[in-house]
Amino acid sequence: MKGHNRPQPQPPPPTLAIRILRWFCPDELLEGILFDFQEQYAEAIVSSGKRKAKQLYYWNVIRLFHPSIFLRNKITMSYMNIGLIKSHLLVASRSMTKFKFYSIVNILGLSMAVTFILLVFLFVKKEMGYDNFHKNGANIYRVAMAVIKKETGEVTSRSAITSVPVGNKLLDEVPAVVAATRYASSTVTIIKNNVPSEEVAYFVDPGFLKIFDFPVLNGSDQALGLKSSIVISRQKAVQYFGDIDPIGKTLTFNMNDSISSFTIQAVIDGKSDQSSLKVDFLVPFEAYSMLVPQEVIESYNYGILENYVLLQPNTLVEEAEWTSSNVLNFNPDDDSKVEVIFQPLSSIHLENDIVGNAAYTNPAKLLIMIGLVFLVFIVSVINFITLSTGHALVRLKEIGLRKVLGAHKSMLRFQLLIEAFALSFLASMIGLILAWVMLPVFNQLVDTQIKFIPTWDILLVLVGISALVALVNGGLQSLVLVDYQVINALHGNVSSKSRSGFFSQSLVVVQFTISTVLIIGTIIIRSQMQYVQNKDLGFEKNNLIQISLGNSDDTEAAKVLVARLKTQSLSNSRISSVTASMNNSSEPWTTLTFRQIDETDEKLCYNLVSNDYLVTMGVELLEGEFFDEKKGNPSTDIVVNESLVRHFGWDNPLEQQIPGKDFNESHRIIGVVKDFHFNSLRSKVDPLILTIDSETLLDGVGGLSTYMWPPNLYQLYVRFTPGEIPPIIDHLSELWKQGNPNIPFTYSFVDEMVARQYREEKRWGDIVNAASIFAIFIAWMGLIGLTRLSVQRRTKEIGIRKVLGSSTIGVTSLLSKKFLLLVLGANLIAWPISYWLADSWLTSFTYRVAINPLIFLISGVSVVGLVTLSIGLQSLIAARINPVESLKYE
Amino acid sequence: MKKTYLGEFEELVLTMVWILGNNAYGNEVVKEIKSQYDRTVNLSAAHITLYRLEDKGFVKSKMGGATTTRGGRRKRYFRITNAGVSLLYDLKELRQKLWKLIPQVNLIGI
Repeated sequence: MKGHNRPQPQPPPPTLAIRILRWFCPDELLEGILFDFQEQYAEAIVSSGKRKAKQLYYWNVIRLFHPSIFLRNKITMSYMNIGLIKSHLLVASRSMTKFKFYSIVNILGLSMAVTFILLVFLFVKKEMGYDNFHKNGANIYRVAMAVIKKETGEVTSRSAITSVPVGNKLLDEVPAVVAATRYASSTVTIIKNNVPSEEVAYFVDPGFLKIFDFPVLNGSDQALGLKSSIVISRQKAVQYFGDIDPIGKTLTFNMNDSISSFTIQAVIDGKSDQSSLKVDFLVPFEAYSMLVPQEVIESYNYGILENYVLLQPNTLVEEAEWTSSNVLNFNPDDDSKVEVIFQPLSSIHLENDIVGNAAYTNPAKLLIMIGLVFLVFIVSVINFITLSTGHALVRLKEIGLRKVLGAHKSMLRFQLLIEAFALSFLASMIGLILAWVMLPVFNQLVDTQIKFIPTWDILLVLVGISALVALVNGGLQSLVLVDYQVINALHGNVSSKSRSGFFSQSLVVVQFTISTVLIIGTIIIRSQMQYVQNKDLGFEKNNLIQISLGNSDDTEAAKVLVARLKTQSLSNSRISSVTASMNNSSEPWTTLTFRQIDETDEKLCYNLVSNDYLVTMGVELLEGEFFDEKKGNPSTDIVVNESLVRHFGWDNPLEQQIPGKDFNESHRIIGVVKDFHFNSLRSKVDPLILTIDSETLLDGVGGLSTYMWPPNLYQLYVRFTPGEIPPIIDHLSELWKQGNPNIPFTYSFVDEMVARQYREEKRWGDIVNAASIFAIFIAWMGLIGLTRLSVQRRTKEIGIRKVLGSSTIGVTSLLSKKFLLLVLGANLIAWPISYWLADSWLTSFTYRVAINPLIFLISGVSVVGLVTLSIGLQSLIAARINPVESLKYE
Repeated sequence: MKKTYLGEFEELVLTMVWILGNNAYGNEVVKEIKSQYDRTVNLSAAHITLYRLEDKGFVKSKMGGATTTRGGRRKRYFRITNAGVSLLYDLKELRQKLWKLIPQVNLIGI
């Protein structure tokens, strides 16, 4: 081609492509490359049209992004000498003090986000760090089992609660298992100086302290092997003995009405904030036989405790699982088989599918927290971006002058980057202090115990956040600023249609969308909680006390005790009725599993009660009659609820029988009660059977789930008339102490227990609430900053408008209209998103509040109101300034 | 052949630079390959190869003279070096040696 000898009109190449090219291409190569690209571009336009040519140009640029090109760039660290950085920091601090409002808004917003990030970081770190202090940790596994139907392959149950002999059986027959321990927990009464108190004791094998590494602080680590000796945690040692050395002291346990003494042989560090396994009182496993019948201890059929095994290092876990499963499937003729699952100790804490007694955290909790933090962080970074780009336009003159004096673009970029980093690092430091201050509040909110220990990774997080913000922000700023023509920059000639306009507007919309979604989320969680707490449960939960009757398994003794307490307490005129029950008001009720006549399995809820249950609880009777003391119902009488009648589709329930195949003694349904919510409102009211005798249906029942063994009356319910509560408690506690000196008097109010079932939801409500307050506050401050900037930039315009006769209101609306529209737009986006989120959250409740469209309106109106108030006020102030003043500006 | 190896594309580009003599620059190389070989080569690929050849010392480059258009770019001209020339000769000799080793029967048999 010879064309380039003559001046020819050159087609302008795509500017963006050139910009990208400049960015990565070393300067010494750039010119030659640009020439070739340009020539090919011109030829391509002639041969295949402008569009194709442009595509080719971009393709060329992309193809040139090759290591052998961009690695040719010399690292220009030498330019960034310390003196320059110092000067940049000085300029940064000057501009910060000059524009105080801008700096404060910017720093405060970011530091709030940093606070939130740090707190959640500490929380996540703590949750991830559970159970990692054991030397053999990588080889410790919890034994879990899945029961699988052979015919269909259907998994009927999966649990880490296994039967007593499993651990030792595996130790004997599976070579990979080197050690095993059982870990059973039970509530016991510990008596010291004649004062009984309820504690949770853990029954373990002697090998427990060899498998797990709880540091022994005092005493012998062989302690668990000795008979009637126990090991306690430091925390409990201090609680029971104060400063006195507890070794050799005895503690008296009341287990199932038999008193036994244990000598303390060692004190260990329980590491309660790092361990899923609680070890407050470690008791030799032999003592467990006082709580559980021998047949249960020997049987493989009752899952009541956790088994832990130590595997040989480098064992193939799948293989060990397979061998173990074979060992435990004794009877090949059974219609279901078990499958052993070894759960690594490190995964137990964040496992919420197959759980046992060990404390665990739902991993969703971590994810939601991280999500919330991410949202707040986005809101604050957007603030930082919109404000600094807006503010940067004010600094155009400085940039222009620097350019005139010979500053390279790269140097200007570097300066902006350093400034952004300084600002964000300052914000991070403030955030660190805020996090330290707010830690107690956070601990309470999330229900955790985090201590603030300054570590390297915290510093790393802080520097990371600062660097990220600085990069995003400084980068965008330099895009907006550095490429301004010098002449325009010096002129202060900022075109109102600057590129950043649309960009920052959409960022504001994103901010307010997030904030509004969070606000609506808060309101919906609140209203669901209110709904749940005010819903008619089918029984009267107020003015009702539940008293724990201890954990004795003697059914006759329990009946006598209930009868005595009943007659005695009714002597108080304010106590209207008294009854007893097996299940309490906070845990899921017992279920019965039995084989039906048609050979299918059926699962029904079950409760053992005493007379007057209906009256005391305030449940309505629909048909027939309830158990009556005067009549003396035979033990074969049962009462069912409405759901059960509906479940079996009966017309005349009183003439029916529950179709259990092996219910050899015929039972009789004497009454039907109205449905009441004995379990939480997350589920429907399940079919329920009430009996007054624990033996009534037991013959034909294949499985019984209960948190206390065996069926007995464990709870007393006392209904009292409204009024002062302390006298009633005193009266009951007095009666209690007369008859049961060895069991502590523990009572709770049923309405409070019901409320506690929704504690987790309430906590989430509070957390989302906190996040939404953070977000809306940050976004709101950002908007104020933006308005202020736009007002500043348009001071002259306002003056001129006023001189030409514009009214104050006219100017005000001119200034605030744009931002209001943005916030309204954000609302429109937020509504469907939050509707969808709320709807999917509410599906976890069977009884859910209807999503009221008013909620959306209210949150929308309140956000818009807040924004109007702040923007309007600023605009109003700007609009009211005497035009003489504003025209004199600059 | 000595320690230096040359890829197929590198050899092609190097040959083209030699052929084009005084007028070898990126786009011209691409066009020459197109006209001689009917093979479409990406311009950036050619550039990357040219710089690599320069690193290896087979070509050298210098910027062209001032342009006639205002704000126009200068082009970067490449010239083959002595090392490049001798490398191409070596390659050619080696190839001929190899060709001679191929049994003639096969050729006749086609």
